[in-house]
Amino acid sequence: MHVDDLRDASRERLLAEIGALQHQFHVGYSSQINDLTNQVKDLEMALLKSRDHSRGLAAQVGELIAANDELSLRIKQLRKAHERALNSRTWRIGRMVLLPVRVLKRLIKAS
Amino acid sequence: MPLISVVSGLVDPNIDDLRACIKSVISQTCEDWEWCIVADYPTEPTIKKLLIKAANNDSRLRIHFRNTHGGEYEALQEAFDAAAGTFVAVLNTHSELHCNALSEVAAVFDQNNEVDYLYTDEDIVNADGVHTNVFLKPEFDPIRLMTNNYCSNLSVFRSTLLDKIGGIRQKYAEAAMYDLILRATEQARVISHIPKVLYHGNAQTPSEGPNTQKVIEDHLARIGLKANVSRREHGGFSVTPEIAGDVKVSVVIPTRGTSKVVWGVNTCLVNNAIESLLRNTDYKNFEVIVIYDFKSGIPVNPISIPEDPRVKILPYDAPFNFSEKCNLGVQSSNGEVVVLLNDDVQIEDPNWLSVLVSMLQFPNVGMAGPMLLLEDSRIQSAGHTNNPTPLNFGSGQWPAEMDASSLFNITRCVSGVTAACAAIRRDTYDQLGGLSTDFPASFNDVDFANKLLEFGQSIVWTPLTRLYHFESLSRDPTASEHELAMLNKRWSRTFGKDPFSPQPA
Repeated sequence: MHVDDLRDASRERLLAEIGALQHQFHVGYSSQINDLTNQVKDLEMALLKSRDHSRGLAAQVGELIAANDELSLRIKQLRKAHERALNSRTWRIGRMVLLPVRVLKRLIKAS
Repeated sequence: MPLISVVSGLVDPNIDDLRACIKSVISQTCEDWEWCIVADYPTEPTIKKLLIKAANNDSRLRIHFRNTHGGEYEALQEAFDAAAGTFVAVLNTHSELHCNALSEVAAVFDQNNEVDYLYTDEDIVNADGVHTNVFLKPEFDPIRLMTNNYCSNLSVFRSTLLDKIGGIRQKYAEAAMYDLILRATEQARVISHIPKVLYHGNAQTPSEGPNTQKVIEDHLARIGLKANVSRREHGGFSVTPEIAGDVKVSVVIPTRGTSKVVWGVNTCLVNNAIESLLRNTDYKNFEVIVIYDFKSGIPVNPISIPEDPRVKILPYDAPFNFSEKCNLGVQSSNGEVVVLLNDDVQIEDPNWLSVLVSMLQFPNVGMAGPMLLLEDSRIQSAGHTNNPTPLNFGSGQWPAEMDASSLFNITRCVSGVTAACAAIRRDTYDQLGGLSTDFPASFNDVDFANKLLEFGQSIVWTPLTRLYHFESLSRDPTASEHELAMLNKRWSRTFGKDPFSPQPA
């Protein structure tokens, strides 16, 4: 057998081995890469979703704050209206008119 | 209470208007004011007599008669110079003030000592004394102000701000007040709007003149925005910012591949949308991502999208969720700007994409949308409004191209734009979590717009480009109970009022 033939044979063998290894790599790792790529995509979608949820929750907190502000304002308005009523002439006159009744009531209770 | 100086420059006033104007100022419920009136030369004897009589009756009127002719703005500048108040209100003597105008103004300045400039709503009193053309103005909108002097009357400035910016620039003549307002808003710490009609004019303020374009260009130069200013065909101006760099755009089109009759022809909607997009888009750097419904590995409806290296098709094999489809499309794309596009649109304007990307170059703008037209060319959407509930602004109306002052012809900030065509910065889209999958069919755009506004960015709607949107042709438009409940849970505080569109279209 000629030396060159031997070299060709070993080269062929090496090429075949490289091919086999490439195939092994392709089958094994590319599926892993695909899996990982899909996982990354899923995680990205999950991240997007969780960001939306956090924004949504912040919006709901905003709703509660707005409702609270509205109620506080209403309470303030009612307190003012109450104060105005107590300071009004009608209320004072009414109190004065009913004073004997109140005194009488207190006396009856005491006895 | 700090003094408010009302300033007026008089040139040939109508005596009846002037009389009414004087009456309206004298009868102000607030007492801490002065009125600096500078009458240009020559002044008619009857006018002179009326003014002198008024000044004799009320010492708060300070009148100066000029000896030389200088025009309205020179007279007004002299009035500004004479003003001694902490705040300066500009009053045209063809107009009247509401009796509470100055007290309302004083209250706002009193509540917040950082307010440097404020404006109020206004209306017109016609010859019969009837109040018409009520103009309810939006909250401060710097983008709208770039082409539309909506602040106009009544404008009140803190005098220290006027000292800082200088007075009226008379070279701009009829646009001098517009120029003054623009310069004031650039420097003001806080700008306030009183949503009450406190100013009654007797004519529509002219929206433009020969100097308007220069005033706008000067403003853009001062704020450092490179933009093209041009006069529009039927009046008014447009400002289109230059696009910084070669921005890649990803157009995301979710579709089921349905066909419908459009303009009398049975049309595969997505084919039509993509064909028109590829045919009519002059913007170069874009990709198209089509999210296409599959069921058990088979397309729900067959489509024949043109072969193009820019077009990528992604299968979607899950129950219908418009938001999820959009999110998947955006995730699979890599443009710096994302355009959400319905499959039931048709593109006619070659500049549609460059206009939308350009709108995102305005400072702090995260989302932009175009004018959308129905099949019969009526408006489908001119942005969103929250008043009374979330809906498309101008829906079903004609676009009124000839009326430059119509809101349908003004680029402005809005509460939202429809996801049928919306350009969004990718980083903004990501940070906000994209379209919420809790809104599979309806209100996903309303929710996204509110998230974006809460995030502190603005949304711009522009009439500078138009698309046809064959609304509701591609899916059932009714909202589910879950979507309505979610919307209320998140955003009911925003309903019933709209800071950008306070009055109906």
